[in-house]
Amino acid sequence: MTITGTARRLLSGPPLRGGPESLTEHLTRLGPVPTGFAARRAIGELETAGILGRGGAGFPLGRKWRAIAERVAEGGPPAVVVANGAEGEPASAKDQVLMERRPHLVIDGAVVAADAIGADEIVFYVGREHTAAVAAMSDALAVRTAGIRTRVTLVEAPIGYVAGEATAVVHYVNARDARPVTTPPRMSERGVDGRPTLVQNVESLAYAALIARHGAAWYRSAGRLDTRGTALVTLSGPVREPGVREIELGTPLGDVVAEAGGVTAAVSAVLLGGYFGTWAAPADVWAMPLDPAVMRERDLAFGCGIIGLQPATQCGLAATTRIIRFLADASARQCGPCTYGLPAMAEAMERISIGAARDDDPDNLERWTAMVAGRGACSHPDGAAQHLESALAVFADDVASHVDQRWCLATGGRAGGAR
Amino acid sequence: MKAPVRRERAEWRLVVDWIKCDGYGLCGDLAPDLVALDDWRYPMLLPTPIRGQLLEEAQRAVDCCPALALRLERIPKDPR
Repeated sequence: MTITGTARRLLSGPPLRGGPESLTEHLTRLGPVPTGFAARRAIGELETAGILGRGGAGFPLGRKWRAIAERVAEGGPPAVVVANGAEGEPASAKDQVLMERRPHLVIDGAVVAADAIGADEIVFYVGREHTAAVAAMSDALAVRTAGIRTRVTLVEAPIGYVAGEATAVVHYVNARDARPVTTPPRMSERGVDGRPTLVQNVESLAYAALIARHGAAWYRSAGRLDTRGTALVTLSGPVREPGVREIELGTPLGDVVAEAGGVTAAVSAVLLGGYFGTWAAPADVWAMPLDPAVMRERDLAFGCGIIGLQPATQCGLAATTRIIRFLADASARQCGPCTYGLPAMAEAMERISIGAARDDDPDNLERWTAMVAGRGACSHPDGAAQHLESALAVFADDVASHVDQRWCLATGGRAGGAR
Repeated sequence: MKAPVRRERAEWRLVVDWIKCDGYGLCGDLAPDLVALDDWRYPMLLPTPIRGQLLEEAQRAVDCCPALALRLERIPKDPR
């Protein structure tokens, strides 16, 4: 996997092919981690910087940290920091790359957060399937523990998409059960061991470590539009240099693809945000700035920075079926609409894609996408519904062709034939 | 100072605990004006606030839920 990009902040430093940055290299490059007053001041810097969380939901870091810090200051028990590196999203690799190549920057972020909010415990929650990241974080922590005052543990997250959902993270750390729970009480109030808990994505934490050192003005000096800073993205599909890149927020999608060497084949659709994101027509988004605010206005999401290019000669309905099937299998099977609705959606989509649609499949798909949204303990079904809805719109011609003619326009062959 | 709001004047809503709900569908049968059932007999709650006589229907559905997954929640009044 190639890791490149023109805007280097999170990924600046030694060549990325060289494996994890050592503690010596890290300290020489960035100096010691800010502690005490400098760390507590970080909350204000994060607020001024306006940095948004990088796990997918995009919640402002400063506001999240301040709420917990105030709770602790009001006499609550010490807080807990959970560095979320579960990255169960199959199309994303940026958290793994960051933990593998810059483990000390991630650790710094968690240490700053703990100092800033008043936490006496840090849990690094790393997806166990990301073995290189687990090894890099474990090795890095082994040489750091002496200099960190809080209790530190590394927890290998179970494999699964929902295992990284924030309430599922806390549930796993508490009870070794990585299923989401009904949302109240808020984790910022009662999370790990019933204590105020900050669950923060590892890219967000790494950036916080840089902002604590360089300040909000430095953060805001990058970015082309309203949303400032840089971000990691994962680019996949027919492009010369696929992989994780760091981009200046607000860079047009087409420029990001051009920086990656351009496309190697025609593209019929672009998947943005992630499996929980949405399909868009290339003509609609090629010039679009990758800025969360701009994307939201167009009913898209920056999410965790996934950019998936769909080759024009491959069936988009087959791709969508695989994704919906994945999401159905990833359900924690706690809530009925998700347990039954997602598999039903996957089956109908599969029948359409192989040219075996039943008469009521298209109508049912539309009905079910509206039916499952907002009816679960977490937003897993909402994400699946939104994804499917966008696929039915972007691939509308091919849906009609598959249903009526049993013919795939993308492959130019019988539906369900070559994919 | 206003008199305390009497229960029948207040507005309520039904809330489902999705993890507890097992899709028995009794709520849809007992409170058809308030709850529709989806293809798998899980409740789809109508968004309109509940008050007056409908409150009795809602309470019956809550009381009869075999999974104890349904509750009535008072809609907070806008502070004026």
